Amino acid sequence: MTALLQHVVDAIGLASLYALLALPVALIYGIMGLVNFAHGELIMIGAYGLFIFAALSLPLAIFLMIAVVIVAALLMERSAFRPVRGSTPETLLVTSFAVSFLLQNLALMVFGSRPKSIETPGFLNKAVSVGGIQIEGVTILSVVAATVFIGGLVIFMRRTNFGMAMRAAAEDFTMARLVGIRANAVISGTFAISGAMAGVAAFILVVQGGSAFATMGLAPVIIAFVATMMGGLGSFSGALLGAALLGAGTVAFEVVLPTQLRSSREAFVYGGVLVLLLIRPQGLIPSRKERV
Amino acid sequence: MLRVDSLEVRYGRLVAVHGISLEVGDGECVGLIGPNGAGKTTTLSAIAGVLSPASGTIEIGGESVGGEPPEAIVRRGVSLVPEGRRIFTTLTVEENLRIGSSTRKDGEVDADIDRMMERFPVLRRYAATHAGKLSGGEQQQLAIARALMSRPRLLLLDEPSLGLAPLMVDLVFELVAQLREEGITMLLVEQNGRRTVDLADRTYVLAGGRIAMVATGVKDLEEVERAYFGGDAAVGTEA
Repeated sequence: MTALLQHVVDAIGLASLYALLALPVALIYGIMGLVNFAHGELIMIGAYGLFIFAALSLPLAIFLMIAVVIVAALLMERSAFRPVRGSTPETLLVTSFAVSFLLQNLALMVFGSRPKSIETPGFLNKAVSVGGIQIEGVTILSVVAATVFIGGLVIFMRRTNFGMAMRAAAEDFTMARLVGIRANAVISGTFAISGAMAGVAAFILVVQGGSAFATMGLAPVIIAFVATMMGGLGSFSGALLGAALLGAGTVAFEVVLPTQLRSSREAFVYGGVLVLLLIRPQGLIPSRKERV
Repeated sequence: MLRVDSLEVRYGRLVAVHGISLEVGDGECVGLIGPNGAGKTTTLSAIAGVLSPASGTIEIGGESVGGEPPEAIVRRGVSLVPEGRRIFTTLTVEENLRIGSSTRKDGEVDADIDRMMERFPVLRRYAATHAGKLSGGEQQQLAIARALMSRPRLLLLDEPSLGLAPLMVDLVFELVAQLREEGITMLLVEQNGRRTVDLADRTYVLAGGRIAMVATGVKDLEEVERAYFGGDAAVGTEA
């Protein structure tokens, strides 16, 4: 029983992190049809931000780092994605690859190829024992951060005019503009949200990995992309479901696989994703969108 | 109110509208009819800012607006009820009305929403329902109400009767007649030629991306049907 609960806790922790990765990718895809592969580089920028601000107190460092990532997200939209807005999905995708590689190589030039190690408070990596179940500080952090962001976003989308504009724009962007919603404001706002979430994810990944390096955004962005694909690209609830399944699947394979196969659990997880997409290519909860 | 001069609109290399000119005066209800592919929707899309004119000018209230984006055009007081209604199906009926007031900063939005629900009782009944659950006719009422929420000076209606049951078609034409009585300036695009000519002050007949004639009565229409469409089946004699 304790063992099972332990796995459930692990799965919830992992799913929370995945949700923090997948949601911003789904939001941006929903609004402008862009699969933003450069989202991973926002996380990388956040990690280097923590490295740069390491001398400051942790809350201040986190605050400044998130501010930097938000600004980076806004600049990315303004300089790279706005000029190609409305182009074919392929053009948008290639643009995001270009931004991604550019930022990776910029980071290599500035910081070099060796990971920069970053100290984080020890309690985040320590596990507390609750009735025999080990819960790491970073797991609690992931769950809290994901809950705050998901809950906050839901309230924001339901209760505010800007949130309503975002939902309308995600369904029919041209029609949203026809009722007077400013395209630039909605897209910038969405990028700012994605930047904030990338910053939070960066902190969690740094706590887990202990360092910042140029290509660290790749693995998280692939997880984000796969989770949103599973859920149905562009749908908010789909991205959450995809993140949950991916998190649970990863933990489940770790449990059921024999020891010698455990190191290749990812292969099994993504094999499962492949099967799912073969059965339901549109994803589990496809967005109700008519692209024009 | 609206003056379109020598407007040409292209999709890539395909010319959809060949230099058309038309005018809508304050308080007028002007029709724009023609068969499928005549360029009616393209013309409205250019006026609303969805498409950029390749050449020619569009003036609203005496100011040239060609090439401005849709969110700027609607701020000039031009509101479009698009073809296919395009209500926001994932938003509630009330949210659809509220979003129609996106350009407004005054404090009367709630009162206006109430007025719309007064006018269209079905919208009050389903206020909290996702708009996608409404029937076609109900969605059309919502689309018109949404467009009115911006308090437009000029209302562009793109085939509001398309795809509706005959009773609903009557209701939509009745509504347009009411709006006209209330002095709302309108440009009405329709395939239903006769009813449009009956209702409008003037009706431009579009064929092949050009204005074939201006009709003021059903007699004119019969003439154009003979000349351009070879009989009276082509220009909207369907109910």
